[in-house]
Amino acid sequence: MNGAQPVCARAPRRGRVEHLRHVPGAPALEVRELTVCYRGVPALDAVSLSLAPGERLAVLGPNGAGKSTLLKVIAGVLVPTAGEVRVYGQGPEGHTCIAYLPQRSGVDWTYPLTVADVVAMGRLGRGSWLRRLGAADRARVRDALDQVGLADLARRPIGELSGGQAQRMFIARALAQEAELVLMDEPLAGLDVPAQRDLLALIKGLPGNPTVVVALHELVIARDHFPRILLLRQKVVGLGSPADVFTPDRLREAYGESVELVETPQGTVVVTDSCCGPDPEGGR
Amino acid sequence: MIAFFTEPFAFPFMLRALGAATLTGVVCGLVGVYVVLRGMAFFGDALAHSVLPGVAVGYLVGRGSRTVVFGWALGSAAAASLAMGALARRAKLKEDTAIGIVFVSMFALGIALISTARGYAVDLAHFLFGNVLGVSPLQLQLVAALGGFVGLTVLVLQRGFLLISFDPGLAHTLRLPVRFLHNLLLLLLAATVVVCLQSVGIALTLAMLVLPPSTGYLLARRVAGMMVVSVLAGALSGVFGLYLSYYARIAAGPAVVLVGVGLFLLALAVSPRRGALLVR
Repeated sequence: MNGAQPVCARAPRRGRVEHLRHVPGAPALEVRELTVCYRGVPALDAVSLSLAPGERLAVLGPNGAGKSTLLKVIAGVLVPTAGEVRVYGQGPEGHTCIAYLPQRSGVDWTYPLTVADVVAMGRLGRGSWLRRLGAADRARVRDALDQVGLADLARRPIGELSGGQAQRMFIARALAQEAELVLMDEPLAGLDVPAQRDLLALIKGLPGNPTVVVALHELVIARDHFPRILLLRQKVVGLGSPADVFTPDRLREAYGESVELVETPQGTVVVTDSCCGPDPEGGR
Repeated sequence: MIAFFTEPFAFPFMLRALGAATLTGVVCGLVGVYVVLRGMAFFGDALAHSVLPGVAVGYLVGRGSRTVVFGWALGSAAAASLAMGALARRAKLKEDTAIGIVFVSMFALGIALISTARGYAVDLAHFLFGNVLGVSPLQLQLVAALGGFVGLTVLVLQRGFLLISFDPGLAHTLRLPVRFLHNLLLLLLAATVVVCLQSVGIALTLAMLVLPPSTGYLLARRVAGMMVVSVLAGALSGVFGLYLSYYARIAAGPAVVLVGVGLFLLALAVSPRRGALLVR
């Protein structure tokens, strides 16, 4: 991977592997006037944003704001009603370098899989899901487990993982996938504070410096750990640095009645109803 | 002692029964892994019962030829599996409700059709509970061909099936043909149900779809191991079910299932992590 041209392999068609090359100089992610409707009700309304390679963006908003929808459209899992998504200059459908990390409730933890099994799934993209994994793939899986600090738990059943370890496993899978755009859907939900801190440190220093988009509920964490913020409530309420986005007006516009702003001598304290539960459009 | 094991299979019809029962166990053991992992037990049961109208039409049209029944049964199951998916999507019903509606519609239609024939009670019983001792050489060949096709397809595409079951989002971003694999899995399940038709019958097909894989789930830590144990448990159910049937003089289909239940209970007792008797 070192110094290699960023290339995304496409699933082979009739035995031939087409390579979806990244357009040089193109933004890692460009979203233009993106609209998604569920049964006529907009879940996303004319959302536009652009990210340079290696940037980290936190997506914030109340439940039902469209965070999960946005991530799924960027991943190419959902087809938008209008507008378009470009990843390194091309539509997302052909890329295998986009990793979408599910919510914890998004997968079934009773499957008889080990941590290494799940991480190895990241290697199945490049037309190789029909084959057995080779030695190079297994080495890549071991590296990925090392990089997230799960090497010792490689053979552990996934049902025995803590919340933090589960998120690390998915990050290792994204690394094994050699993802250049990593999308995470509420990775901090349900974690205690030390586990959140460890995970944030990992996200900040991901090997290969991928572009990262994280859906979050925690405003303070977003402010402290992410250089760019998208505040979402179907439409873009705010997009920019934390200082630009976290203004009382914008927060009230995004969260409505569920946000309380408390003025203290140290500054403004924001109290939100950050209760979890999957977004209404989050389930499948 | 040796005679104990060889005696039943001195009869050619018992050898054919052995072939059919073992094939059923192996194919169900493979496909059933996805039924158990994905939580599709009700779907599998409904699919098994949905072959009845096809069986009935084949039976009435073919007039005694049980091979015509095969094609009609397969078509019936395939149509039912697609109908269940479409009904859940279009009518915005809950999935199990949609499955239940297709289940009872097909099953009632099947019984109604068979009731138009004379002496239908006997024939209906054969379809419902199987008649593995009456397998003809041609039927065995059909079962072997269908079972072989299903088994090979599962072995070749197993990583894809696992991926779309465990994490469909990942399967999408890795650009696997998710919808194709999903529909193919349903069709393979329909074919499996038809393989079961002659050996354990409609009513007990579900047993073969859930018992061997559950035994595998209890004993194995990984999916590959679960598949191996499941296939073994399925095959053993077939073989020892026939011994049980021969020596205890009970119907073959239920005997196969009861051996499967026995293996499952054994696994429950000795399972390293989930065992009922060895609770830590």
